[in-house]
Amino acid sequence: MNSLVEVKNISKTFGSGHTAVKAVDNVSFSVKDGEIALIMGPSGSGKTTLLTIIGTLLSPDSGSVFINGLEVTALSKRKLPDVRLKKIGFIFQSFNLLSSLNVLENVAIVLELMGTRSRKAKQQAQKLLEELGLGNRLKYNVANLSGGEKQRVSIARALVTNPAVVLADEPTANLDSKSGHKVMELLRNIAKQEGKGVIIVTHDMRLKDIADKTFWIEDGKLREHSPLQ
Amino acid sequence: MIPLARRNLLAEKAKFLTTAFGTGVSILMMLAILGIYFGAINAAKAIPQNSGAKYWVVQTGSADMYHTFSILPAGMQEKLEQIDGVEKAAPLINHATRIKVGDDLITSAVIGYEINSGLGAPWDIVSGQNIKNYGEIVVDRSMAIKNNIEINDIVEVGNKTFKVVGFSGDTNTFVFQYVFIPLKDALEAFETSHTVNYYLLKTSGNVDKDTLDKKVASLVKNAMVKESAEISDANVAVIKTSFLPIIAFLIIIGLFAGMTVIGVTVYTTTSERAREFGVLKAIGIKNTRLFRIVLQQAFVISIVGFFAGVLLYFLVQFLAYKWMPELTFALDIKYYVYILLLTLLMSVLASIVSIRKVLSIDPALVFKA
Repeated sequence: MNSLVEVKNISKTFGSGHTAVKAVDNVSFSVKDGEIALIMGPSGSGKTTLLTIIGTLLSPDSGSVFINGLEVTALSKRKLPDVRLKKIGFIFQSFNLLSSLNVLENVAIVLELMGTRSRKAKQQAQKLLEELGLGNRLKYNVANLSGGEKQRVSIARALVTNPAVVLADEPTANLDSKSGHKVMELLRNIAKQEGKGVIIVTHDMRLKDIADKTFWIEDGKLREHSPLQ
Repeated sequence: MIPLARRNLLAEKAKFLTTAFGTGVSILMMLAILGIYFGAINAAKAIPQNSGAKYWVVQTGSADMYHTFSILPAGMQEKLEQIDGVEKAAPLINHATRIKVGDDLITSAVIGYEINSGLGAPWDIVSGQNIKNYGEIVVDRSMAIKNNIEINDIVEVGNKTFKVVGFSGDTNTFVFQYVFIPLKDALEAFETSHTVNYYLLKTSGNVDKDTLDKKVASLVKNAMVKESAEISDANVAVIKTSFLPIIAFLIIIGLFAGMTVIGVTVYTTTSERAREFGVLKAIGIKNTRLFRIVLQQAFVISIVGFFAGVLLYFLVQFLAYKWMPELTFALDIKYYVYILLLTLLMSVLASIVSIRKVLSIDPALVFKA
């Protein structure tokens, strides 16, 4: 198996002097293709900061992040949008769908940003949405979907560009039990069937069931949980 | 390409329509001001251009028909017609006065012209007929509408009464309107039998203006020759010097008003969707594409606003024709294009603040619940 995500000695401090807070403290870990890594920890422990750094939305003070072999922390800011577009899929707790677009367009727009022609982008998006059980919701306004449906649209948007890595921030937090399980199943398929590396930041203990690795982060320090813990 | 900009705007149709209407009113303001201005310009040109004469004999120093006065001795037309190349010479009276319609006194410019020569006669009779006999008057159409003057009504000019036989078009200068009476009646009405204001010269063949000027100067003391176009240009210059600064000022106000409406809307639309712009940035949209979305939003508002403004302008013209007939509008198609380009420029300027806003959005905010 190849390492799709490699995090080496990442540190990030916010503020300075007496008010300095070390959000991420010398963190290292890796995720291989087909693996699901779970990062858990209390609120304010640094898990979202770590995910933001891996997602190239925040620069670390020190350390390196490699995505599919590419050292993204060494790239200029100008090149990072392209990395995010092609190599990383994002799934958010609050879905973050574009309210003025319908379901199909929310997914197809990502392909269009990559340069795919509109018609082809919509065909690809439709195929994926049908696979995720949203074939009858294509023209729906996203505001009219249930939470579980919204998250599935968000997952389709994350996957449609066939990224190497999927980063999920509390993907089940706003969902009922049934929808949560459905999303868990989808995340497992993303890793096991599609061979992608999946990193999930969550409080939801149920997600431990699908994880290959579970990390605990507290005060910015990361340690791996053994499966027995 | 998914039209995100358009969808963002149309997501709130009432807000979008209000904005387009607001922009449209600004566009209307600019079009109406320009329309009235060019209407006044056209009116300023109308009398000299449609006088039927190529040359005007004026008192030395006289330039236009508004601000400079011309007084010439009466009874010189026969001498002027003896000049080589002069086919016809006809005196003209241009006298600003108040005419009496019923109990009302209306300020107007009275043109007294030689009815047999036809030089200086009203050229566009929109209702009734032209003057055929003494004691008849043709009144400007807008003046007639505004003052309920009907054909066959009797009006008083000076100490004489006249029967209204027709209404003329294209004889409204916005500030005052023209009426036309026979020269003989004008001389009697104003008791100026020894003087006229101008002589209109109709020439045949190529007549050299300088030669004509010298011959006229030798015949009529303190007189000079001007081409009709010179009189027309001088009239226009009067309008430009008195109106143009006001027009320019009002257009700048219109531009600012339009820019503010577009700017505020684009900014609020951008601000309201800051999180969604953040999502797009997180996903990997390039800044140039984001700029395009913001600009497209502004362009859509501007273009819809422009067409709303043009429709409102036509509506205002229609209403003015009925209820404010003294307002005349004239706008060449090229000015619509200029206003459209200005509107697009407005939208670009109005987008600058929004683009800065989009640039400042932190994509990491998407991880905040």
